[in-house]
Amino acid sequence: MVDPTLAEYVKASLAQGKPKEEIYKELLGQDWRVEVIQESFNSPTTKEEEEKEDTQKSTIRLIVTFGAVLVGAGIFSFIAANWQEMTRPVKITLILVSMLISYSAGWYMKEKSNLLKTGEALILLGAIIYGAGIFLVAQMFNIRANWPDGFILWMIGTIAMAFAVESYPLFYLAIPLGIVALVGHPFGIFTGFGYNSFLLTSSLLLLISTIITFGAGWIIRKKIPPEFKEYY
Amino acid sequence: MLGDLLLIFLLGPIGIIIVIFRHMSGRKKSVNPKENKEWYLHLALSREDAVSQLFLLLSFFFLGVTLLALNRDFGDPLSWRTILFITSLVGLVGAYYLKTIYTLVFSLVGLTSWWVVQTNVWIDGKDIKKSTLFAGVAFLMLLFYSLGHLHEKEKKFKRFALVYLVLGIIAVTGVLFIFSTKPGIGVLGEMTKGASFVGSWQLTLSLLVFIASLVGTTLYAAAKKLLSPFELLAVFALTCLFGITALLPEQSMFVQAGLSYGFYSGGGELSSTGVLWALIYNFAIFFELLGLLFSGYIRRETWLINLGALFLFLLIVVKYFDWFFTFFDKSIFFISAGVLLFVVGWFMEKGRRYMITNIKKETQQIPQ
Repeated sequence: MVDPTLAEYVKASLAQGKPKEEIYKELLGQDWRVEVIQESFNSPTTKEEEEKEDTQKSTIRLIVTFGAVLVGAGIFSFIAANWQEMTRPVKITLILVSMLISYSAGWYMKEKSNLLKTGEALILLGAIIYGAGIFLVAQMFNIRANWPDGFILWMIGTIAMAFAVESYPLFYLAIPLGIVALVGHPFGIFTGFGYNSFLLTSSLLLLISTIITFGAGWIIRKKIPPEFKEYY
Repeated sequence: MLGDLLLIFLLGPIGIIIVIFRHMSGRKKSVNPKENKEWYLHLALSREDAVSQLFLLLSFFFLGVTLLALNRDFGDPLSWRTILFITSLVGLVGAYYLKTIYTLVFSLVGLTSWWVVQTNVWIDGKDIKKSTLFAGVAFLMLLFYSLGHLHEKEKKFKRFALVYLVLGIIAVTGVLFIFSTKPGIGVLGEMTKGASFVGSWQLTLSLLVFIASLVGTTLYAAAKKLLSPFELLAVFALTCLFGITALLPEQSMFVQAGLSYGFYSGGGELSSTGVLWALIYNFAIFFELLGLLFSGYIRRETWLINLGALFLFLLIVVKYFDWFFTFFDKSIFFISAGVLLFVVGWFMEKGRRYMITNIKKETQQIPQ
């Protein structure tokens, strides 16, 4: 039998946009048993509410993510068009300022204004600007490096930010970045195309990536809902 | 110019992110094993599970590439095959320790690939028949099948079981499928040319280890009632078939020697030996697929029935092309193909529905 007070609490928490894991943690802290919490999540009214919330959240997420992508594309198109006329300090300032604004606004919306989706989309935009910044700086100063290293640096920064703000879209961005670096490096190693074995930074960065991705996987694994533990 | 490049640079990863995002969104709703009896068919049970598995898979790949890069930096002291072996082995250990399905798949594929490329090095310059190599891979795949059933014993290894079973079934079906066609028979004939496998002690030892592991695992799984007598028989029948293929002396599959076995070009006419092998492999694939459907029905596994039905459908289509494309007039060929597909579709839909309904009924009757 579902406890009506608990079911009501779960429903209200979901309506506030709290993640399921957080609700679990709170209730476990209040000495509720996992089975009872699970039942209250499965009560028909909560399920209905959850499904409705999910649809709304997906729509909002889709809209704001596309918004972030379009804004990013627009900003870079503008910068690219005026790139030649800008001096180096202006270029770097522009990259840093746009990244910081995006991250700060995202963090503020997510943490302070409780606008989770919009906040996450802005943080995602910040991560995209950060990555673009890596390549623009490399191009500006003619840095000698193997090109997949840029993607590794981008991936590492994105993972760090993802943990800092607990944002899953950033993890989703980090994964394809890692894949690009993984495909790029062996291509360079076997063909010798653009690969300079004297640049030991590549091997070092690859080693660091191995450790970081393993660590990230390990930490996220620990966040798996408690009711699934017996299946691992 | 720079603007276009930047847009491409932005849109590339965005496309991949959308694909990953969609995959992860599907995982947002956790699969609760207590509510969903087919929970083990999901590669990830929750969003956290999916993301952590992907990162662990990335770290496994990064390890391989790091070793490759360091190897290059230090003047290539190791071969890339050794690195593949080390990485796959580490991946396999990691997959078991952390229960990650994605890493398990790639580790198993990596180890199998390592054996194939390493064997090619072992037999290099010895003119040993390639059919032995094929038999080795087939033994490994049958071993995966038995290991899959062995993993079903424990709840936390049920998803591992699925990985082993699917890899084994797909590979064995694929091999039988290829050798049941005319070009496949030609390849089989080519593979039997050369000296016996005993010319390479490494290859001989590998095959002995594979056979011993396969027999041991299969008998153990059967003893633990994880494999039915009918499945045990099927595994041993296929082992014999692949074993005989490895031991075969040179076979001429076509009437005119050296004739190419081009696709549906009229090609060469099969010799009596070719016809015999074509018959053997066609029977083998047909009964293997029927066995798969039957096994799904006995085990009440709808995924096995669906997989068997899909393969059977593909087999019928390929066989039709293989046998009748040059034999019939083109218009008759296409009309009869259409009619055949309708009939096959009707039978399969009805048969599949009947089997699945029966399974559901029986499941409801059995108190859980």
